[in-house]
Amino acid sequence: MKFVLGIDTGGTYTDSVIMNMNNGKVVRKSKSLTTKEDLSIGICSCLDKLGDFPYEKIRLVSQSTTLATNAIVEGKGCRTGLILVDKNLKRSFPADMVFYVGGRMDIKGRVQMRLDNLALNKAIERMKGKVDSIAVSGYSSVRNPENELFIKDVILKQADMPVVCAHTLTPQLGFYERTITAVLNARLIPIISDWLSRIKESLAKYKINAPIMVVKSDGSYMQSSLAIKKPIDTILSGPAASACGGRFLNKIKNGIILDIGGTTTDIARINNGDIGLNEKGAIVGGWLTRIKSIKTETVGLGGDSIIILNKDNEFEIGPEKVIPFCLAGVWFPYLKEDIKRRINESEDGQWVYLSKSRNSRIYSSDEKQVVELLNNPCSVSLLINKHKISKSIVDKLIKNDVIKKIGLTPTDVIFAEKNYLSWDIESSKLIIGNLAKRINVCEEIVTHKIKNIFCSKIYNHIPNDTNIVAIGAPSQTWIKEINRRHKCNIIVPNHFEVANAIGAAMGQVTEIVSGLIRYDKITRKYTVYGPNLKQQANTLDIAKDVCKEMLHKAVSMAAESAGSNKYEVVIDIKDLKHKGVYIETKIIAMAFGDHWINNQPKS
Amino acid sequence: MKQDIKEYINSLIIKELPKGMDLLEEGRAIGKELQPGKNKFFRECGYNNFNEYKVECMKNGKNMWQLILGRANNSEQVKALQDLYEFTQSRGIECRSVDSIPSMELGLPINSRDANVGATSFVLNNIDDYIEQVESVPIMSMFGNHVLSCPNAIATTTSCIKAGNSNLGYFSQYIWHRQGFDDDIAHIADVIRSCGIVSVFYDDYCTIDSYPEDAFGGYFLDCVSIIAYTLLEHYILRDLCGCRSAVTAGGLLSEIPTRVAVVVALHKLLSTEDQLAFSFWNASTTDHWENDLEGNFGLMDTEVLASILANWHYGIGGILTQNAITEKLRVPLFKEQLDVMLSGVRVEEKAKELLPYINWAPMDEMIETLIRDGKIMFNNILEGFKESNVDIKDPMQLLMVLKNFNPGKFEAAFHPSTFNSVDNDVQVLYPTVLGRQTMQLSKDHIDKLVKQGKGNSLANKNVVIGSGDGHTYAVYFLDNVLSAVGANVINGGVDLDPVDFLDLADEEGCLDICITVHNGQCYDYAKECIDLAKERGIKYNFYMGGRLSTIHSGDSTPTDMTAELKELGFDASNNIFNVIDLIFKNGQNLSYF
Repeated sequence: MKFVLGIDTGGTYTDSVIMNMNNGKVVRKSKSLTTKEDLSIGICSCLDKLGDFPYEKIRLVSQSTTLATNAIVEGKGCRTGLILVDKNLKRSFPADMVFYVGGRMDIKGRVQMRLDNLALNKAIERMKGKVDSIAVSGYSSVRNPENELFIKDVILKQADMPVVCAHTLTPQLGFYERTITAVLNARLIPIISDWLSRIKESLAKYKINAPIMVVKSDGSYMQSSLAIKKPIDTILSGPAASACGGRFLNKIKNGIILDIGGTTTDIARINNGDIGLNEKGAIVGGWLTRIKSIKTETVGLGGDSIIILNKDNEFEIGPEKVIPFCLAGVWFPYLKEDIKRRINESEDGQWVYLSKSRNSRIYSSDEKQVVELLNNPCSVSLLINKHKISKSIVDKLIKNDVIKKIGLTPTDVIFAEKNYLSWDIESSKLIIGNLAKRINVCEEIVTHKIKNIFCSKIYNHIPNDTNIVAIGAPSQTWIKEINRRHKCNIIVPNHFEVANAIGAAMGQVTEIVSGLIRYDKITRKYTVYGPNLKQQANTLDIAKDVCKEMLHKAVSMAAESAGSNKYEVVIDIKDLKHKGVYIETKIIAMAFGDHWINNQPKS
Repeated sequence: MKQDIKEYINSLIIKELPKGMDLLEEGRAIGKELQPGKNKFFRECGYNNFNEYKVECMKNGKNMWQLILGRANNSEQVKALQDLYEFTQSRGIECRSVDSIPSMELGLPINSRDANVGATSFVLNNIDDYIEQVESVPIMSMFGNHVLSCPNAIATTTSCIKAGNSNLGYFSQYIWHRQGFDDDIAHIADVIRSCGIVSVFYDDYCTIDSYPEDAFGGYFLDCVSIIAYTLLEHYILRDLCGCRSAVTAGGLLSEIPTRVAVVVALHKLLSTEDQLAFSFWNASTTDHWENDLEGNFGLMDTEVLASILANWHYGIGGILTQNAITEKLRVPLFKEQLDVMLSGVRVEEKAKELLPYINWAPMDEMIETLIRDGKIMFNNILEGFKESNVDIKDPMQLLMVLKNFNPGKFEAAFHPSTFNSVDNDVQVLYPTVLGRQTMQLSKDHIDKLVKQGKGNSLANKNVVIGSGDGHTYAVYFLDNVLSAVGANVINGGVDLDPVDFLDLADEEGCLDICITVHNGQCYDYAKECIDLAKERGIKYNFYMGGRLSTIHSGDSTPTDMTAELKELGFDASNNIFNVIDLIFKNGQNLSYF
């Protein structure tokens, strides 16, 4: 038997599955709350829930993770230096130190001015001991990477730290975005490296000694050793795994995967069995990267989206994510008594508590006061009205993850309606009852109105398609409501609640490397712009052969370092002409690995 | 010389080029097999060569006149020659030459003509076509355009010589990109071979004419640079290729003092005891009115008066050409060309009365300065090339480097005010007309924009600019004006392909692209931009300015393409104020998507 352990660490829950790869069946599944302060705790909790299993039979562990995304959003990461070659972009970078080094390269990758070695050495000297990694990005480096490669060599000779060259992360033009991608990658290296070693340690407790794969933003796999070098590739790992899981569970070739999560609802399209990719690159934490990622539409609406009553006494849902009362009540048994005591028409129904994952930074006096007041969850209106804490301070502390907000959510509404006794539905009901009083209706009407709004909001975002598969923990409940209300037939497959973990388990290695050929009027030769090299050839045919060989080698290396030793390489060549006049040739080499488990030598 | 310039020049050197001297020898071998003809002009007028004719005219105090002629086909061209002969003979005008302008298509080898825009005037398909023209009347058809300096150089050069035409050119056009022919090395190699052919007929006064303002020299800010560049061309032609060479000037020199000074300086530098090196005074094309066309006669007559006086005073022997009266709007009608020539001839009748009263001293001073600084800059060029490892004894390598050299950079690299100086801005001594106009135009526009409160309207907006051909002035103008309103201008320079514009925009995260074109290829260029943009799935904002017309196959006059460009989605208002407003409105950097 070949077993794969798939783990998805989401914003709210961590899911895990054990899949039998011989028959594609789920043999174990579990869910746990994600522990943002240390993701490995949530993973261990999830594994505990999987129950007895001969873990030594696990042949592969594969995971999708939000770690990189969260780190970028929260501005975490190691101290990073940036060396920009040629051009002062005069824009902001997520780097701690930025240096500009002269050395001009034109848009065709022709050297216009030699690299300023003096400035380079000064920059390296000044960064020593002050940064933990260095990103190097040169203007037009995807047309000629020689400056970036040279600088990397020089740094490695002088300092022992990771160096990231922008051209190795993307073949696309876009100096600023390429630079951002390189800096973010450099920042993430120690984080991902540390996380992976802790995961390995955790897995060792369960006697799991299998290779670890990480799902990339395009849904394909890479080996953990590569993930340490290119953590930026994991930024949309979760949504990518979700789409792969949805596709696998319903075997759809064309259609929509609707992933209703706790924080957001992600909508991805499947065309001819392929997941649509955003070729221009993913945006994360407000930074536009050049990382090719799954194309999703994200709606700020999930099971844990906040429900508020606006000034017109109408309900609004989302996009803010909060902790549902039914869950907070389990963590803080005191909460429901506080709700009962506070409940009145002026109460907004929002509480806050101190976050476990808050960092130990120095707070301002106002902030310190809030931290000291929050031994137990406290109503926001109490903080503002009685303790005279300004709303902006509360909002800032929430934004900085110092405190967390508890609020009424669609999850509360559903759990209270279904009477799920394992949760603190009493707290949920108290809040719903209070809202009903405020608008002079019964509780059932409040529930009905909220469900209507939630269903309509989701329905309005669904593209017009006959083939829609919904996954994610809240999906079964909500899809029934949507189908009934909007007379549609959205399918919720078995194992919908752990579809992301299944997607993580079902990945394969796919590597794509591209090259470009252009005619150079000056040299009267064809210039081949390869992944690591610019080279010239006398004829187009020779240039194509050179480029194909270069790309075949590069894509094979990429597939092998991603963890595949059995893969098929497909090369696509496209000549572009205008009115019969040659413009360029684009060559793409793709390596498709079989599922990892099938590639392993027989033991 | 500055390191970055040295490196730039070094990057232009192409290894594995054929040796220029070998190419010349190949050309000479072809030349030795040729039997040169003697056309009707020589036979009927009794001259051994054209120089002999010019010298005799100068000796007799006669000014020579000519027309620029490029009719739609060979029959029309012959008819126009016959009409011209009859007209000038009946009025006693000394007109024994025409600047015969064939279609651009002639410049391409026959198998490369499909991708070209088509015939723009007559095409000389075989030797019979040449003979038909030169034998029609005793007027010398000088084939300057699209002949010796084009990819079809060998065929055109040998045909000219066989047909008995001893003056051909224009050498300076070697830098022109010929649509449909991308093989620059093959192109330049054939130009050198053709020089080899011409060199065989040195004793027959077979002469290569050049017109630097129509190519490299047209991009300079300072007249000193025109002199220096012309010296460089003549060094290549005379010293390296062993050819006789001559030069033409005037098209872009409409300010009379510099116009005269440049011509006299060239004459003094290049004419020798046995040859007058200045060919003809081209009519200036920069000052014309768009309305009241008759008023342009006044401009032409003033200009020709100065040329006539200079011809007499300095013994230049420059033929007078003055038919650019409608240049701003259209190609002049044949009748209009004859009228303006006649007007000039009447000026000549009175000019002699004026000659004794002219004080030439300030002019002499300007000429001497141009000669001195022109020589300094020429020496700078050779020294700079040598320092950058260019083989200055190899015409092939020199021409290939020059063909790819940005003229603006060239001037800034070697000008006496910048060479071996920390300063990168050329200190202009005697501005060229376009240089002065461009600087003034930029200033006027900037002042107006500041008055309109738009002084910072494009702050932080990225805008890619460049020229689809060699339109340096327009790029200079765009850069100045857009920078002045706060834009972050990404200047791609000249001779950019559409794909280069898009690459630059993508690398810079920019959607606004300003393209200037001047060579009649605007529509095809724009179409290629749009097709490539679609391929990339990006909607750029394209703004096109310059000469937005094209000459359709079989037409002699250009057709306005503004409507077609708009249909493609280009802003073709050709108005910088509109462009700035549109960039302000549309401008969105790609990074902010």
